Amino acid sequence: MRALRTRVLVAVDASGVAAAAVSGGVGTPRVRSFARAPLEPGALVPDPLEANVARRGEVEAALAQVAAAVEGGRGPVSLILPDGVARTVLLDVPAGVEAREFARYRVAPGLPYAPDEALVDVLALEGGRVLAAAVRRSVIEGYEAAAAAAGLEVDRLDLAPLAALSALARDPRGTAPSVDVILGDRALSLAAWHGGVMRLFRTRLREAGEAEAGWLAREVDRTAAQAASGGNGGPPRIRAVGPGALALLQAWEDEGRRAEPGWTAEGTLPVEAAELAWLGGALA
Amino acid sequence: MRGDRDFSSRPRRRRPAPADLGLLGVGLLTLVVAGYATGTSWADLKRARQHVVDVRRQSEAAQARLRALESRSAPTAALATQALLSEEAAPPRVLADLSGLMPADVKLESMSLTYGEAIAIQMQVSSRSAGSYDAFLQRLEGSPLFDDVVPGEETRDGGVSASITARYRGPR
Repeated sequence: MRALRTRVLVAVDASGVAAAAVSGGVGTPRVRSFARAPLEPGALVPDPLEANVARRGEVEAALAQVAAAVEGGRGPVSLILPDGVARTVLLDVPAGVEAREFARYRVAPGLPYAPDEALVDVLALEGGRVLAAAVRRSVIEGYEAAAAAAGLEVDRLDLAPLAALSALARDPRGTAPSVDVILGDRALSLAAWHGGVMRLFRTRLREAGEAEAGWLAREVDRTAAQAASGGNGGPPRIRAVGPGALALLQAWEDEGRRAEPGWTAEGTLPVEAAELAWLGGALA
Repeated sequence: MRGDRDFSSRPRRRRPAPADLGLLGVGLLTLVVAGYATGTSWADLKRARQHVVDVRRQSEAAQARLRALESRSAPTAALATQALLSEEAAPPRVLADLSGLMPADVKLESMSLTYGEAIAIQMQVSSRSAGSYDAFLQRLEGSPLFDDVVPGEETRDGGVSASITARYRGPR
């Protein structure tokens, strides 16, 4: 029932703000409307410690612009924050323990700020595992203030890599090794799977330029090898989503490396659906 | 996998999902049905109790009528029996059956018959010899026409003079 109603997602990242209204059931989503407003460099800087919204007026204007273009700016929206703002940890949750509380217990002591400043939540995975993420409260509050000033009724806040993984994790992948590459404007995440279980999750700052495809290919191979931990490796299945995903796939194809976009979607989109990592929040 | 992650600094009060509302509706409907069923059950229980009271009252009334009829029927039955015996066991018949048991030297001095639910005989006999009297008494006790034979006072002075009570059963 829930998946049949229209969901509005508003995603922010360093290069701009985007929004989409998505309807349809799980597995058959349809993008009803889409809007994007670019941001000048430096207006928003994804960072896990410092305030991200550097030039609040520009960010608020972009938020208001996309919200008005999608579903008339009415109704609750999911605000999706970019990659690079959270500390993420892959955890095995003991039976009978509440996952979010366990994640806070494990993650908060290692953060470079006071534990009570951490907002912690999890993405549940198969086999009793969770991907826990902690975001500094002051970082969140900066986004919330900008969204409120733009007139958005924020229903929930999610993170782009977790939103993407929630959709990618639903896709049957078998037991062979695979690596999901989730790109953001400033950071990227690598999720390595083996035996049907997520074994590794890493976050890296992006390296702009033509050399990024080669560097990222080595990161993928290294991550897959660590996930296999001496087991039957073989070339991993690679899927990529996020800004620059199609260019990355093309560069890898030119080098003879096979990879595929993380997803497609029905409806009219001015960009390929795989370029929008945060769209996973509606596809899951 | 999608879950309900929320990194909001002040988590919002969630709007109920349609599925939640559906479940709430089902729950309320179940409550209404349960309430209706309970009310109906109470009504059924009240009706059943009233029915038991009515049946008990009718039973008591029937028992009372039965007792009244029984109390009235006792003399009526006695009278009916008496009438029947008077017709089927008239004194001549009783006397003839009794005489048939008497030896030749036993003589019936007097006899009274009382007709009720049975025929009670009170008789006074005399005999020239004790043996004849004893023989009569023996025949009387052995006869299927008489029972409850009780010898009364008797005088033996060569002969025998005695009273006997018995009950006439008559032929069955």
